[in-house]
Amino acid sequence: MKKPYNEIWIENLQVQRICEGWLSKKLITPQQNDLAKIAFPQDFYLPGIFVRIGLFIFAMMGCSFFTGFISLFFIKSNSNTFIPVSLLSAIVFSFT
Amino acid sequence: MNSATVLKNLLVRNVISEEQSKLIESFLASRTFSVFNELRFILYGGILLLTSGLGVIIYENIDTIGHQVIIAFIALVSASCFFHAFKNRLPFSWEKTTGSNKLAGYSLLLGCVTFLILEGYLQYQYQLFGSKYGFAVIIPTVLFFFCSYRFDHTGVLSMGITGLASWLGLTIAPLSLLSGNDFTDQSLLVSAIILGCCMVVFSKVSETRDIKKHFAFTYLFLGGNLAAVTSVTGLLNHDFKIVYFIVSAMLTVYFIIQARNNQWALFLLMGVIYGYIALSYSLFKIAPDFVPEIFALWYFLFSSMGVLWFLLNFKKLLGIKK
Repeated sequence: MKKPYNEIWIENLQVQRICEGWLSKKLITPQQNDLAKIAFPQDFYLPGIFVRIGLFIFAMMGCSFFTGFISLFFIKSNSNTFIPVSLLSAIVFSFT
Repeated sequence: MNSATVLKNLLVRNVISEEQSKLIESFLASRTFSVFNELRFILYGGILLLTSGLGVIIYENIDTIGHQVIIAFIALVSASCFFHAFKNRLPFSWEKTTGSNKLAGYSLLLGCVTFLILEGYLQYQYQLFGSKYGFAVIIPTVLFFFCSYRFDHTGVLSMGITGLASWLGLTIAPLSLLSGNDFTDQSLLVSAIILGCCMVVFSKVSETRDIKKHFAFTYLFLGGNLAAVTSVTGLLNHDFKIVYFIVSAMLTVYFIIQARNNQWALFLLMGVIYGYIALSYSLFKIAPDFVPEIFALWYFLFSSMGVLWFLLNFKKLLGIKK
């Protein structure tokens, strides 16, 4: 099955994290840790917690306004069409 | 993927030698099982149970214990905490002091908190300060500022800053205003903006002049938040919108510059959120009446996408290396 992310990077990330743990226990030298980072590269975008919070807030905003925009095409006045549209969008967003 | 496979991988790529791999393997096999988290969890639970149990006992038996005993007990706790912190003090310096006793820091914090409780108790029960609330607030504020600089404690500093802000609020606003929970009064907002900006400036001064450099973050965080929240509130609620807009725009830019210079991602987030609110509100305010109907449909969608793009690429855009 094709995956939307690079599986090798995930494994390499795990290797790097275990190496960091060993470095903090002084089992390997900093040079070896750097070598491990070069031998097992990964290039995910991993920002700090605050940048993640910002990404979350603005992604939620963008998604909800997009839902509102899409619902304009389906909505009829005095009806409950908005509920299925929003449920559908919720399902779509949770999968993306 | 477990440690054994990682070891094998590292060995294959020649990152570590054969002997080292054996050494690490034997270390991992023979290491002791850590119960640090479990012990700490039990400790937290114990403290929680003890304090809540004491609270319940005192609450149930307040008429037989009497207020004087409780006040004396709180005063004793506070005094002994201050005494302990004072006994373990380090020589004063304008730099960050190193090698301080961790327990002394906590006892200082506990001493300050119990001092506040003591004062609140006296005021509530015996009206010690009458209606001079400003006087009641300024005493702990001065004490906390002194303690934070003398014992080099950022937690106590933030308590002191909070005290300062509430003292200013009490001095400026008539009490009826505060009890009505109306925090949008203009005089209150302006004074809060001025205090917040003063603290932002002071954080810069303490950074450049080496006056407790590590306090700069606390000053900037508390003062900057105060100034930004109040200037956005002023923008939304009052006239002279251009002044409030300029203040919040300047704060936003300053936050982002600070985030860039000091690698503080928190200020990046603050700057982006406050700036987004101020900018969006002002755009809709200055736009002619017929524009928002067409404009609003697209504005939020594309502006939030723009912010996402900024957050994904901020390192490149702000020129932060790695």
